Amino acid sequence: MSGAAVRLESVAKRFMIPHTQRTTLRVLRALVRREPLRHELWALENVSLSVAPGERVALVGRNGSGKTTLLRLLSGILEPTRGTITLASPPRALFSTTIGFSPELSVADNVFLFGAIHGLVRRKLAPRQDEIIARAGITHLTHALLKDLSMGQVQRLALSVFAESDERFLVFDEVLGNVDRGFARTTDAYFRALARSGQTLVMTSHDPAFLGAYCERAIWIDAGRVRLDGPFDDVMRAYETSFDDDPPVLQAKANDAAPRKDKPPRPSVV
Amino acid sequence: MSTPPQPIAARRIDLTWLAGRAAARARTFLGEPNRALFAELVRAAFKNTDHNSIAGALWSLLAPFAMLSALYLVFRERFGEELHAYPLFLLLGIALVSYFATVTRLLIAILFANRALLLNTTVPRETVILSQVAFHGYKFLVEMVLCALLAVYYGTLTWHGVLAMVPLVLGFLALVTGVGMLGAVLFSFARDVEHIWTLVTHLLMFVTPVFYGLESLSAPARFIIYWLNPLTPFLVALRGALIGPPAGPGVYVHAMLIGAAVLLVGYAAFLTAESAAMERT
Repeated sequence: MSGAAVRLESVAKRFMIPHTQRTTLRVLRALVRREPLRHELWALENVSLSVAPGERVALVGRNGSGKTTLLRLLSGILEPTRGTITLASPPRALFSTTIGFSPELSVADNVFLFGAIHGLVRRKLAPRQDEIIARAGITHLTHALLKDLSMGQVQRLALSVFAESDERFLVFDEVLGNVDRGFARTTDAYFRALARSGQTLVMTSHDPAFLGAYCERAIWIDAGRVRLDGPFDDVMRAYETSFDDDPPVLQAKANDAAPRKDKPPRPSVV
Repeated sequence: MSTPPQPIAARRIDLTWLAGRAAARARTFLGEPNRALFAELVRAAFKNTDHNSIAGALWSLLAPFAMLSALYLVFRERFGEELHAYPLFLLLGIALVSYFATVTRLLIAILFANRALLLNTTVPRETVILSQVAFHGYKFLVEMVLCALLAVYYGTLTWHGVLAMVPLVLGFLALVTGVGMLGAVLFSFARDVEHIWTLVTHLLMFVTPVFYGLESLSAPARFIIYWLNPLTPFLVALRGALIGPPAGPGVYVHAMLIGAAVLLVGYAAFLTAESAAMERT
């Protein structure tokens, strides 16, 4: 694979979307009548790209464009319908900072559970448990149940545990959302260290500043296809420009909501 | 690592592909990170369900003993007079049917219940399934130990019996896992499979010789209960091992073949359809 950390060749991913709520009788009836039970949805089509070892790549695109599907394919969670994916080594992926915890367990227990779910064994985490919890800034909550933490605190814990990973290829999908400024500085230091370490990074975010701080290259995914692939600034410029053509939907809605001149205004209830 | 194109239609009959996939999964499953994950999932299930306490575990063992008491009081005169060590006879039946019903019902909806985890992490699906089999399995094993203690009380426990129990319990776990995997795949295609299975498992207490002996049935009923209910050979063999007289080798072979065959069919169906099942849940 000529040294690439990951190479995708003509990759396509199709989801089969059911028409209705499926029950045994409906399935049997459809089989007898030879009716289709589902329709196709192509989330990705003909995607070819490669990422070199140590490269830091941002995936950008609108909601539903196929970014997460692409990351799930890279991580081996989903399988391509067509095409090939070749990896030098499987990546370690962080798709969500809330999934992988058990709300009824303590913070201390959740360090090991979340770690194990992300490939980090207890033997490695145990000596660093205190530091992991301290880095998340929740030492005073070590024995609290996870369900008693705020969303931001859970997110800090997740990132703090995941930071123990020393995998050569890391994947992040929209993982920074609820952290406060203090922890944002910690994560910034973490991502900058990653960027210097030579680890391969593929990440998505809707925050161009966040991506721009660590990524040198961007790939714009649009409607399941690679629209543009190149230097970060060039791709982001083109991507941002694409929003200029959007109809001002919210403005139109606001205008609709305003009282029309040809109709009397509705009486206010309050 | 390379993922070649995989047409779904070809997978159904490609035994080489299935064997390769199963071997790759086995390598992953036996790796250290996955063994550690398995242990953490079981530990988390134990702490969540039993509140991390001995009392919590005892509460979960109360249900089989409540059922044992009820069945013993109701059926002691009708069946208990003819059957030696009737409480042990009952407990074996209750433990087997309860474990089968509980775990298969849980496994049927496991892909759905763990959808977020399975679509957002690289956790192997088999690990989640087997962690549940193992977590509930420890209660089943505790019940088996209690059965062995009862056998000591009745003077029916032998070393041969204890040794015979080991492959039977493993075969039974294979049966439960296979049925659960098959159910998990079916559930993704039709949601009411869960309701249908709940109904079936409620009936199991009556169509399995839990509180009656096979000898008390008519010949046609005995034939149906023995040959069409996969639990019956296991129960007959386990009772033979702990209460005696030992069941014939045919019963053991029958039980082990059922366990192995159902696991193979269930896992093959799971490997073939798991991706489609995951995407549909």
